[in-house]
Amino acid sequence: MPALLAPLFLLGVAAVAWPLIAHLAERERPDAVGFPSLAFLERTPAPLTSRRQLRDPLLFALRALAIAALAFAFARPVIAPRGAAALAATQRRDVVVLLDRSFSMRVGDRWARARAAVEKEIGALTLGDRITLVAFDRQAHAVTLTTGDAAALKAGLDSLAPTDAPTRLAPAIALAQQRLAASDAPRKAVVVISDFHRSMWDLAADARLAPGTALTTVDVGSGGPIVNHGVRAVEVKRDRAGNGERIVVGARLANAGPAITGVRVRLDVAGRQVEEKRVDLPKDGGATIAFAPVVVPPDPVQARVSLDADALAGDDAYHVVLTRAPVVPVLLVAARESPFLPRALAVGDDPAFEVITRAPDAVGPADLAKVRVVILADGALPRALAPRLLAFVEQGGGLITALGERAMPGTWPSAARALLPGSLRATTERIAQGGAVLGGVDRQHPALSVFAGAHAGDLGAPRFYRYRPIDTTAGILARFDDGGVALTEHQVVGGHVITFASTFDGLWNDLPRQPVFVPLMHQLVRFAARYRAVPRAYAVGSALLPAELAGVPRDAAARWSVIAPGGERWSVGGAALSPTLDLVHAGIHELRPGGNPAARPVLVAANIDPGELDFTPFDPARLVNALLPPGAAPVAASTATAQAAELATLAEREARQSTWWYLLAAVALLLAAETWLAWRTRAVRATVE
Amino acid sequence: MTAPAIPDPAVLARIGDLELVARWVVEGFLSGLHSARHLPHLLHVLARAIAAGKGNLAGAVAQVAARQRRRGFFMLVSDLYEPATDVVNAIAPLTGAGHDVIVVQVLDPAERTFPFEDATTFRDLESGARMPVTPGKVRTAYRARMGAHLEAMRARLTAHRADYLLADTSEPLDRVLFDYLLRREFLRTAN
Repeated sequence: MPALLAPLFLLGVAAVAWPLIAHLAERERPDAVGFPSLAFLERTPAPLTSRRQLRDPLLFALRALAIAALAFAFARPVIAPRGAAALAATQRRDVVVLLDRSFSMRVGDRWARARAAVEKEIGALTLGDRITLVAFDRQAHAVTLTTGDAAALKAGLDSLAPTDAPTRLAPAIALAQQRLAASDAPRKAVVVISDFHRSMWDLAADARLAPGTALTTVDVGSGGPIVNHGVRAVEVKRDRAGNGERIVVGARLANAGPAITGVRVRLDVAGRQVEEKRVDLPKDGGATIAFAPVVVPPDPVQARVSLDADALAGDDAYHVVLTRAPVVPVLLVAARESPFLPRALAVGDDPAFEVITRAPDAVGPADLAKVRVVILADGALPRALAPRLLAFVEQGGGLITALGERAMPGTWPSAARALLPGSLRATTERIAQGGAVLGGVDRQHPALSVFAGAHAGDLGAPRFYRYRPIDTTAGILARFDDGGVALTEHQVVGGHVITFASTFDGLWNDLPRQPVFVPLMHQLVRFAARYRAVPRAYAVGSALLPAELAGVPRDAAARWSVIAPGGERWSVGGAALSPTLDLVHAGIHELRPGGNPAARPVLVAANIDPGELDFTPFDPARLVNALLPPGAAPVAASTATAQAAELATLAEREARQSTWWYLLAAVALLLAAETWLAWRTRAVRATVE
Repeated sequence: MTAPAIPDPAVLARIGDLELVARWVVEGFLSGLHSARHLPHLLHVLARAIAAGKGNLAGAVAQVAARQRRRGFFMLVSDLYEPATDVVNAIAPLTGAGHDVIVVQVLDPAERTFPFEDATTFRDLESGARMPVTPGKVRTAYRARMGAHLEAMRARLTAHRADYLLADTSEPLDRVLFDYLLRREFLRTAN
């Protein structure tokens, strides 16, 4: 039984219907034949059954054979040696080829090498082998069915191209496991073709391939050093010298490779070039650049920082959405003025903080109405202010209380008892020990999560010489080194309350003189104000909720129209569509409510995932060791067994046999015979008639 | 009797109606136009005549019989797709008047054997009527009917003292006539 390299071409046999139709169609002549008299004839229309009979079965057979032979030739038959079928039945493999098509595959000739690796796998198909081609980046999907049809696999491969998305291994491995679990082939294999860069690793610790599954890795990332430059980030700050409507756009540039001088860097706002600068990029280094302040209109506007394009163009531009800095108004209540806190809040950019300072007895109802956060800087809370402050917090306002010298036990108004996390205790003096430090900081709490990074600020640096420990067991964010509670958070109806066991004025500690003071205060006020920063840009591959982007209540039935950077349009939301906007291209996406094309769009900027631009590789052997069951021997790159090696690959065998050539010659002979027979039949018939 | 005017041959060449052509030819002969001077015109008209339209055998014969007083020799050449009774009735005035009458029935071989294979729609050349026919189904019946018709034609004409001759379009008509006249002369001599 011959095998076929391109069995789908056998569908061409259906063309046999053509000569059949031609034969049957000729049963009725379209024109009437003249006859001297119809007197001796009878009306006898041709019955349907007789129309189904072939007039020239030999002619039809020749035509049908020619078409069938042609289809068979295109299917590229190959005759396997005797016993090959039985051998193939025991040796046939189902292979899942995982092809990385993330952004990093655009580097150099990685994609070409990856394609070549896939083609090699296709070319290595032996009798009975099947391949499932899976393309993966952030997600994974099967490009082809599980098939041994080399033509179909190559067509699937040709339909692929690298995307802008980041790489994730887990979905691809999961899909491979799923496909192989449904396979009944005696041999199973997974081939991973990727550049194996560090950020793609997201496998769970227990991820394993089924026992007996071979794993082959093809690393297309190894090669010469990468030469690339790009824009890694864009930062936006308020222009403090201006009136607040101007912003300063800065960019962080990176260069991998030799030093470059005079690289042009441009800032475009709303599609128009605003400024161009030249910058020198050091060898394997980076640079920062700041453009002149620009005026931002009231509505969001798209902007782009770009530099001269190189071979990897995707990271040569960085897109952002520029908006005026949001402002969080803060009421600072302090009996004694201190410059530290107002100055710390004055440098806020995202958001900006507008500070109103009042003495405790001078706080009026209008003051509370204008602000989102109240800071009691030394713990003084007049009885007249207490109920209004409680109502303010219950309605969603934020409160930060520093338990300074005026927050003595028994002085806190009972009407605002809910604003304290617990009872107050006497102050603790630690000056003799050189001050206490913070310990036990809950960096997972949203109020302190910005300090979770290694270089995010040292909360252990400040020294606390006096403090008033809080007697509570709930909502503890930080403790002093003696175990006393230093920072708490609790909620009163709709508002957040943060309580600090020391002061912000520098009298009981040196906190205001520590670098961590500014980011700590910014973060505490942001949390108390329930402020959520709207990113100016997202990474490609992000999935976003349209309602949140537009700042409107979620409505599962609402549909949104999306226009991608390349002009591609699609819809999200509603009952049958994806609920999220999946960013698949770098650039500006426009989002509008469905059915309202004239609406002002919500602009969403997307850029290449930073992890995708970290080309640091990892050893593919690590993947093999992680996925193979414990004790299983790693499989070499060539997994063919000795038996399978005896079977020449189908492609090689087919090329050697050239059966298609003989079939085409047979087609020519059949067509020649058909032509002669048709001519002869017509001639005889014409003579008779 | 006034001889009909012979139209210009170019005009005659454009006349496609067989009945009109036949009328010119018959009247030409009856008027003595078969003399040497006009014979070429008549032959020309005959040569250019195109078979078309519906024949009227009885009318044509009656017209000839009424105008030909002297005994003579009449030859009727036709496919005779009419009932034998009608043909006999048509020539009865001629045989009754003592004329020698010979009826030549000319048929195409296909009209006798009906060799067609494909299911075809046939169109009557005289009436234009159309009929779908599957030849394989009707061939036997057709041949039987045609044979009966020919036999009836032969028997009825012979009974009415008319000579009957069945000719094939594959043979030249002059040769058929020559053979017939030769055989008739031989029989007369023999008697």
